Amino acid sequence: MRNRILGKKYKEIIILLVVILVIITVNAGHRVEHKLRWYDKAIVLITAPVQYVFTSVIKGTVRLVEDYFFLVNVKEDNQYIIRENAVLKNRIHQLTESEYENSRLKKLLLLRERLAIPMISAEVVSKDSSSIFKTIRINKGENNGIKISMPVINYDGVVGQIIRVFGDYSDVLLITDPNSDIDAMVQEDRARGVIEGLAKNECRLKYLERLDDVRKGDVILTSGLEKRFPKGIIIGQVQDVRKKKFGITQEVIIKPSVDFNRIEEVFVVVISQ
Amino acid sequence: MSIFIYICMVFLFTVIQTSFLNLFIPSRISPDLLSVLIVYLAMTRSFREGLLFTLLTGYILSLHTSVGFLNIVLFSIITFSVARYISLNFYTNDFKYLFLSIALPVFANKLFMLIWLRFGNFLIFMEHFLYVIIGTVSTAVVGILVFRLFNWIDVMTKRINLDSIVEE
Repeated sequence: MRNRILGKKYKEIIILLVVILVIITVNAGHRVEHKLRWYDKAIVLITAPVQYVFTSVIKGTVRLVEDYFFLVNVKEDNQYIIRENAVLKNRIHQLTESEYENSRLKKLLLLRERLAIPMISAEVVSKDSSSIFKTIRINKGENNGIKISMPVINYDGVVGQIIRVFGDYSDVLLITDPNSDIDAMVQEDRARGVIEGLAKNECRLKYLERLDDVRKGDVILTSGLEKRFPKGIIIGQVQDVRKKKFGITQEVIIKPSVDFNRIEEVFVVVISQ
Repeated sequence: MSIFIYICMVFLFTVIQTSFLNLFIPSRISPDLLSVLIVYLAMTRSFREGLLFTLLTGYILSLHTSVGFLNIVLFSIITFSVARYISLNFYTNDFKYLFLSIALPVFANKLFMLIWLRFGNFLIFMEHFLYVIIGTVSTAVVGILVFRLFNWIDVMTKRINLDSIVEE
């Protein structure tokens, strides 16, 4: 009996090992899948609208809770005044929110005018399910003319590029994702390299020659050479330069200009494929 | 838990993970609900059924991340394998066991992801490693609550009949 149980256990382990080995062999190297089948789209058709509703409801709740906390530490005899105060604060909060939104939209508009290329604005619906990989889902998709590989920016700079397109939604691979690579250049030195994500709010500028004079604070822009991103859009600033004792390249750590934790609206740049 | 409820849970947890948790809690420390589901499968289902549903969970996950389907399936199978191994070999019915049986597979999953990414820089690896530990602990804590929820669902859907449990 014990031998049978042990045999079963080993059989399971062997099957699992074989499955893992097969997957590793078939899938050497990590990559992003682009082509979607009808059943992929069906799954996202179920989850994306719920994500959108969830995000909107939670944002609203957070605002409400924030307003509620204004009222926590008050005395009973001030109830009326506090209620009034809360209403007014809520109103101010709403107005401030509108002001922020107004300012954001103004900046977006300015960006659209400056770049003079057609862009589609979109809202962020959800973020990546994993803690290491970095994607966002936006509420514009195939039906709005969005296609795979289109660049995504906002008024602060480069956000990423489209990797998957569904009917009314699409997924954006952020520049901080380890699978992301964008051709970039240093504004001051004009030295070129490739920006790769580091799975946190930092990127790395690879393939930069050791002799290139890059310093902390230098601005990194898109080079426009790969014909995906328009030339000259800000990516970030040099945060650290690491030169090893040997080798022909240097490693440069970049702080992206976009705050990915607070990103709410983006622009998809419409480029001819 | 019936297959239908399990699939609903996968969808629900995916939505919670991608909207509530990862939008409002720093993603590197937020709990990984989908991994908890895979651990649950490994501990409560037969090998074939568990593996099949791990593949399904991996597939749904792959549509909500930047990693390809096969990579996600690989990470999910690693979680499943470790959880299965622990449940078959070290089963004890206490809190510490439950915590470790969730934490170890999740840790293995995240660690494998890190190694797979080949950052090539020890400092970056170590920084991520620290967050892997924090993420693992938060997942295990939330996982215990999720297991309780599943237990409650099992009782409500009469998968576990309390009347039939006889104390020896």
